[in-house]
Amino acid sequence: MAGIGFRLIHLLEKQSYAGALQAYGYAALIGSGPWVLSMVTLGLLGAALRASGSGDGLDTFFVAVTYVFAFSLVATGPLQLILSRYAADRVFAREEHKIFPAYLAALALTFGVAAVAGGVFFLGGVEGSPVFRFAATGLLMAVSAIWISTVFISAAKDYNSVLRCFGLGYALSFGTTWGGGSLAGMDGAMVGFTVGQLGLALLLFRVIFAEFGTRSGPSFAFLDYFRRHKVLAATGLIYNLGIWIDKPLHWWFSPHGYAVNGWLWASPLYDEAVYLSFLSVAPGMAVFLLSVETTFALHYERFFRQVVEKAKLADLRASKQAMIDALRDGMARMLKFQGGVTLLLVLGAEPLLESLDLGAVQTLVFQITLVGVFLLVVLLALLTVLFYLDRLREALWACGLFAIVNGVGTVAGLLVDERWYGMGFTVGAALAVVYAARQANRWLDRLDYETFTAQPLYA
Amino acid sequence: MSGDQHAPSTAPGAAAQVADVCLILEGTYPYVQGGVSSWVHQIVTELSEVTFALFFLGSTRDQTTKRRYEPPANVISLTEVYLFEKLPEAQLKPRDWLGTKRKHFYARLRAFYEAPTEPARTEAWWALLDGLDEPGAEPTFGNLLQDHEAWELLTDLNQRWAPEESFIDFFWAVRFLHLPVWTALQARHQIPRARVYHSVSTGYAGLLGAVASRRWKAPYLITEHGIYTKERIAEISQATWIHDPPGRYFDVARGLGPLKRMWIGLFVFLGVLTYAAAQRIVSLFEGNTGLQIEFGAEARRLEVVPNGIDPVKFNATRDKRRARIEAAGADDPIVIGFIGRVVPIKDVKTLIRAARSVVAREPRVRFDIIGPTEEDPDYFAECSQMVELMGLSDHVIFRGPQNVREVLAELDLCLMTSISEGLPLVILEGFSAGVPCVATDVGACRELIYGRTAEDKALGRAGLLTKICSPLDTADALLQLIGDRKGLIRMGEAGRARVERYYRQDDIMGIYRRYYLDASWARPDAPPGPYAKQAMTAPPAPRAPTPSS
Repeated sequence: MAGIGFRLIHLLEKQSYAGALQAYGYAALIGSGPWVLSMVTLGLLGAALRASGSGDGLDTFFVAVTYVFAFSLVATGPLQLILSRYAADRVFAREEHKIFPAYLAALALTFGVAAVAGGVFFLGGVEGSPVFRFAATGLLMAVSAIWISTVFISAAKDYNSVLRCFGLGYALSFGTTWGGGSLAGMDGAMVGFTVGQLGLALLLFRVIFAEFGTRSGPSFAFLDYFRRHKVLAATGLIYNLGIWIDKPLHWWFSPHGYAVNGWLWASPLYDEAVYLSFLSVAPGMAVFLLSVETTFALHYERFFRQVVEKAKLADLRASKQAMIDALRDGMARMLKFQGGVTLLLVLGAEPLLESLDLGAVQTLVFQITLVGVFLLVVLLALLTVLFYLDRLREALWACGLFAIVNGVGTVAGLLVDERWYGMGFTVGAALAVVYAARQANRWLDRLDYETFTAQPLYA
Repeated sequence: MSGDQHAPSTAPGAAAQVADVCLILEGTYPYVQGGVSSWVHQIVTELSEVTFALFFLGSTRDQTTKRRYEPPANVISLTEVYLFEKLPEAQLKPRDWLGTKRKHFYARLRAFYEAPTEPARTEAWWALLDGLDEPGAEPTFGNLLQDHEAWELLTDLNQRWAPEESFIDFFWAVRFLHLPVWTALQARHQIPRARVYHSVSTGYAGLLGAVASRRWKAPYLITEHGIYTKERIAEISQATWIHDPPGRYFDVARGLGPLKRMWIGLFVFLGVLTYAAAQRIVSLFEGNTGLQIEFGAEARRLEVVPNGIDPVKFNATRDKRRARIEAAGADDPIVIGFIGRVVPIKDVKTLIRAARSVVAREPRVRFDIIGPTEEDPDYFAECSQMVELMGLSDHVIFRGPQNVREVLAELDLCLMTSISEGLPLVILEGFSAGVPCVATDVGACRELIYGRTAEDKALGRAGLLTKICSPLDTADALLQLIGDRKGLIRMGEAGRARVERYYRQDDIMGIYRRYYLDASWARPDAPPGPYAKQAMTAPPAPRAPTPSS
């Protein structure tokens, strides 16, 4: 009889929904990890040093640590996101054995770059004892290694041991810094802090080895991901740049900035107020951010599970709506609670900073940047959502907007006067929040459309 | 998609010539062997003064596929299109299109799906298609995959047709349902120009026939051997690759799942569209006209044109057979021939069971099973075992393929036990040689054996009809006939007369020659066909034998 019948079964069998189910491990990471740690460390160190009443000698130490954090975060930013994507893909492809070799290779790469950059900077551009300068170089290597390790730590999912590591590592760092500082001033503090951070790096290495350890040597296969995921790498860079860009601008171009030691510049008027802002709101909000993300992630996973488990359209749409609602709820709670805390701090800034022996200008900067930090956390929540939705380009634009407005606004503020200090950071964060919120809304709303239409016709 | 234009004839550039007839062939000639293909071959060979352009629709291109037939020189071109081939990249990328054309396209597409009735849908279809032919108004398949309007429409249709269904399965069903239709539509630009379009089925071939005849304002004729829509429905109902909710069995009350209903809807629509576009709708035998009406064909366009045969070629066989029968002694065996493949649909097991009853009463009878046995080895093994267990080894003989024209001389009677048939050529061949036939009441058997029109019936019976799957009924019929030697001869003569009168190849070819060369049948004022006022139970008006132009 005439007729060609069906060959479709063949086509149908080849379809897979691999793409749909890929959740990204880097969402949580970018949201919290390194920058909170670095800012909190700087805030605590600054407060501790100020409280101990140590002399100018420790200024060099503090500024050197700031440089180490700033440089390591911006420099490893792209690598962090690339590595987390690589690790997530390996987990998905059931190739966990390839994760540890990538970790080793990334460590080697980071150590190399940090050693060269640190060596050039601290040996070439900073006065002081060789002990200090070598220790500072070592610190850059240790801290960079910590940032790389946090990528794999978040994939390990062993939260208890991770928390233990960080608790232990930071207790160690502060102890050794304190001890070193009391014993041998600037050199002692630097050696002490470096030893503490190295200890933390080793603890993290141990956890990762326990989870992913193999006998194979380093493998640089992940470097190919830089070529394949340019937007992701750029996001890692621009994001960290956005958080940091206002600080060096103040160091170098503020009338209050000065060379502390050789190439090490600082602008305490600005720096101290900003680190204090971070210290005051970031930790609590980071916790909150994680909880928003976890709720969102649950709904997100449920949506995709329903897709492959043959749910009807009405159920899928209900799931999508639940996802949107969860996000709105989380945001609303964050705005209410943390917004309240921020408001209280803004109102109580004057007596608070007075008690810390900081002046009126710093109080104003503190107030402005408190709002900025608050907005930054909101931005991070939204970036997390964009990452989940695989809207990397939009995430990059949001980060870019933040970085550019922060940079330009900071320069503008410096050109006007002290009342405008910190405004670039805050306005940048605000604009980025508006943009990211619109994008998150838009792409969440068309999640079902994107999920289905993105499936290629031919597998 | 592909469209190799290679002219089998020697004249270069022959493809540019406007053919008399464009034959649109879905999955048949010249690449697939079978009843339809030999029919096509017969037409293009016999009507050597008519030029043909062949338009072949296949599923996927297969380099190993060989042509089963060599088309003659009057076939001036052969275009091949493969509907399940991967779309080219250009078709997968959405075209960046904005503005009123896009708006109109999606409005028409929506109107098509949301049409309340089949005629309204057919109308919406042509509005949609005419819109596509406007310059710059044709999207790519990529647009359908990615445009938001398409998604909106898809989800709306999901709510309308299958709100409780697994959405992911609905989604893929919609994609794959449209893919071959889209590929077929793309092929409309490749259909050669011709004076008459003739498709040999509805379905995708019918779709293209309808599109081509509208585009070139040429008459459109379809000939259906089987009823495509019915075959697809049977196929889809049993398909395991279409998602049905678990635990859903076919049951009359609840019917099939919505996805299967969507697939069926597609083929029913293609049938309706084809029937509405064709000015003449031909079936091989009357039994199928009722189905065509059921699937949307208008009665006044229907006509029956059976398969034809040249009985003169069987004269020698007939004479030889007659001589053998006249010389036969009382102890000579009576040979009942089964000519056909040994496969379940031919129900050889019923034949074997009937053989036991017949042989018990009349031991002279021998059953010769003539035809290939290797198509379904398991079934053949079962049949052989049955023959052995029943102790019929001397009475049921598997002879394998034979030259039919020669072997007919050895037969006293033909037997056919099929569960399903179209218009079996083997009955016509038997009749040509004067061999009567006992056959199940399927397909065209009733018309062949008892006659169709009153005039035809007056020629007498050329055998007996039996119930399907009934060894008892079959045995009774056989015993009745072999007990009446004179009647047997009379029936053979009736068969031969019927063939000469109604199934002559020359006459049949004459009908198609007229269809092809004088398209007056397609004019709006053309007289309606013989089934115009027909309630399908009443016999049709007699059709005058057509002279071969």
